[in-house]
Parts: sequence; C-alpha cells; structure tokens
Amino acid sequence: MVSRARLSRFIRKRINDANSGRLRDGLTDDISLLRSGILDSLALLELVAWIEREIGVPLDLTEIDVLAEWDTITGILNYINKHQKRWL
Amino acid sequence: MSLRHGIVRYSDEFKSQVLKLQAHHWGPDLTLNAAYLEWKYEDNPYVKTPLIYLALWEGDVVGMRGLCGARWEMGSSGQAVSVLCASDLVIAPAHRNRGLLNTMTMTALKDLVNSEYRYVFNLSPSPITYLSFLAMGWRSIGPLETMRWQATGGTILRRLLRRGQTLRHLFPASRRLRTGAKRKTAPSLAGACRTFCSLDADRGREARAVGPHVSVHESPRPEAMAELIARIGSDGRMRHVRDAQYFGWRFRNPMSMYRFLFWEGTQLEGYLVLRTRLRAVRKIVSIVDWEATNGQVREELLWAAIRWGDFAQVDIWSATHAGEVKVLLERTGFRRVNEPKGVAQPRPAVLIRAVSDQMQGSQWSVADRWLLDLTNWDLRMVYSDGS
Repeated sequence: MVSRARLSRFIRKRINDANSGRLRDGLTDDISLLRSGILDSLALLELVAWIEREIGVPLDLTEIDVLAEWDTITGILNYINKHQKRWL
Repeated sequence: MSLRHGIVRYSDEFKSQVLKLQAHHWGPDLTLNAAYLEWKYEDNPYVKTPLIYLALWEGDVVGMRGLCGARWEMGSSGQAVSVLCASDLVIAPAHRNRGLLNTMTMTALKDLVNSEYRYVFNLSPSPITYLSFLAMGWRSIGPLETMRWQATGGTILRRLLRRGQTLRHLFPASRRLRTGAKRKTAPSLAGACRTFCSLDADRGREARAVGPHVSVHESPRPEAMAELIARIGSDGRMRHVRDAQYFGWRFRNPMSMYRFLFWEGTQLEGYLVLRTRLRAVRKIVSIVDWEATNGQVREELLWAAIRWGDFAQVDIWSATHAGEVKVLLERTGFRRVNEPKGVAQPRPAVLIRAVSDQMQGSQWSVADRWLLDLTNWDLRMVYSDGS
C-alpha cells in the first residue's frame, strides 16, 4: 500500500526534477499541486501510473474528481485510504 | 507554454493553416478536412460563428481547440440549454508537451465565461488527453458501457451460402473473412460503401424475414424523425434536442457514412441509424440513434440491422438504455465490452465542466437535475462529435 512517506518522496522528486529543485523546501502535504500548476499533466500522468503500480490495480478515472480529490498530497492519500479496501 | 505562443479566436484567414494542421488528426485529405470544418463549425446551427481557439507560434497555427455548438434539453418541461462540446484538439508535434492543451482550453473557457454557455461537454475524450481534462476540473458522469455484436466465422459463412453467392456479394464478405481487423488498405469512401453493401443489397429481398414495415435509406427524414421524437415525448433525462433542424444538419457529417432504417405503418413509428467512419481502417458499424414507439418496432429495427447488414461488428452505448432494451440487445447477441481501466487506457466516458471557475465545487444542474448523475442522462452516440 502507498505510504505517506513514499508518496511524498515520489511527488517531491518528480516536482523537483521539473523545477530544478526550487520547490524542495516549500512543498508541504497541503500545498496545491494542480491548481497551482506545480504538477503539470505529464507529471500527473506519471503519478497516477506510479500509484497504479503501487496498489497493483488500474484506477477507474471515471470515479475520481481529480481537481478536488487529488490536488494535494494529503488529498491523494485520503483518496487511497478511502478506497484501498476495494483494491485488496 | 512559451511566451511566444499566443491564443487567438479562429477567423477565415487561418482556415488553410487549420486544415493542414488537422491533417495530424483528421487525415491528409485537405478537401475532406475543409468540408468537415465547414459542416461542423461554420454550418453548425447552434453558434453564430465558429468557436475555435488557435495557438500561434510566430504567426503560424500550431494548435487548435474546437468547441462545437449543441443544444440539449432536460426535465419534464424540456428546458433547453446551449452547451459546447470540446472537440478536434490538435497540437503540432513540435509544440506538444508545452501545456498548450491546458492553455488553449482554459483561455477558451475564460473567454466564454460571460456567454450563454454554462457547461462544456466532451463526449469523445482521447486516452491521451483524458487525465489532462480531469486535472482542469472536468468530471466524468460515468462509463458509457459499450455493447458489441460480433459476427462469428460460421455466421458469415452461413450467410454467404444462404445468399445467391454472386461475386458482388461474395467479394466484400470474403475479404473481411480473410483479413479481418488486420486489413491495411487505405480507408476510403469505397470502403465505407462496402461496409453497407449487404444492407443496401438485402433491404428489399429479405424484408419479409424481419417484417414488412422496415426499409433502409441513405438519407435521413428530418421532419418525420423530429415528429416521431416529439410524439414519443421525453422522460426528462438530459438529451440533445432532436428537431428537424438538428436531423437535417447532423447527418451531413462528411467524415461518416450513415444508413437509416425506418419502421413505417401509417406514419413513422421508429428509426435506427447506423454509422461507419470513412477514415477508420476497421469499418466498425455503430448504432448511433434508435427510437421506437413500442418494443416490437424497436426489436424489428434491430433485427433488420443485424440480419441485413452482414457486419463484422456493431457497437452501441448502453449505459443509459432502459433495462428492457439491454435485454433485447443481449437477446440479439450483443455483449458488454470489457472496457479497460487505468491511466493508460481510461474507460470511455462523457466528461463535463462548468464554463466558469466560480461554479467549480457547486452542484452542476439543469432543470434541477444533477448533471453528474448518470441516471439523469439519455446518451446516444449521435450526440458525440466523433459520430
């Protein structure tokens, strides 16, 4: 299952790679990733693919309100925790 | 996005550039591209001028975001609303992965925030752009649940033997048997015609086998079809307004070929519309619209399409069909397609978004019915700009 630490590490690495490390200190679990543009669509694609690999099942995107539920690290973790029973 | 990209509204001066750019999406035939652009955007009965947003790079068109006009209705009183359908997105290969999809789409929505349009639909999101749309605040109303009828080898063979086996009939069907989905001949008008050749040939001969009331035609009957829709009435679910103007325009799509099955007594009691795409390599036939005043008419239309058509495959969206219609489809041999999931191949779905950012987070509704509730929709392929 996806842990907060692993998810944070993946997102931080992906974002810092794309931003030359400038966000290393400012990125908190509650900072907006999508609305702020920190996470572009390519990075989001990689994030979803990474989560699918971690949980071992493909996500049904028709069920996700991406902008509302996946805009922060906390939001993504909450989504995973809420639905993880279905994926076991 | 680079600072050197600019976003502008389409005007005639960009037409030739747009047609060339759309060769990446629509295909290499610029004459056909022009006909499609004119039909879809210039002749669209629901907008005064084409709603197309372009990305320019040093004066050249390198991106296009189309918004196709549409008029939908919902509720028992049939409250009609103008909506836009996002379609025909294309970005020149050298300018991809620079955020142009997002920039063109959000610029368009901001430009339209004070217009009559409250919602934008996307009935044909591609797997590539699907997630980008969700990240821009689009929401899925649910999967479309495609059902598919597929001919078996035995079915085709029996069909051939039962026929007179003239070369004219044998050729297209045997070709399909030999090569199936792997056929790589250039998609063309002739190919689309071949798809319908059995339907066209059989429509008189076997009428008695299905029923004497069904006939096949190459053209719609806008007035009669609209009168039928009005006579049947609405159950209040969200659907496109299907009046004579709509039917008269909709089936002039130069990228598709249609056949119309009509069930007539003293007046039109039902119709079923089949479509195949001119440029698709696999000539898949789809039931894009289907209406009837009763179950018998509905069933005879479906049987006629399947028995006369000799198709390899027939698809239909089933998510919002009534239970008895799904049972009829299953009885006829249609099966639910095991739709993929996951980010690499998202389930086909309809995406919607409020034009205004101010409406993000609020309940999207028309005539007091929630738009994010699939049970409030009556979805047909004909409403998709891809049909």
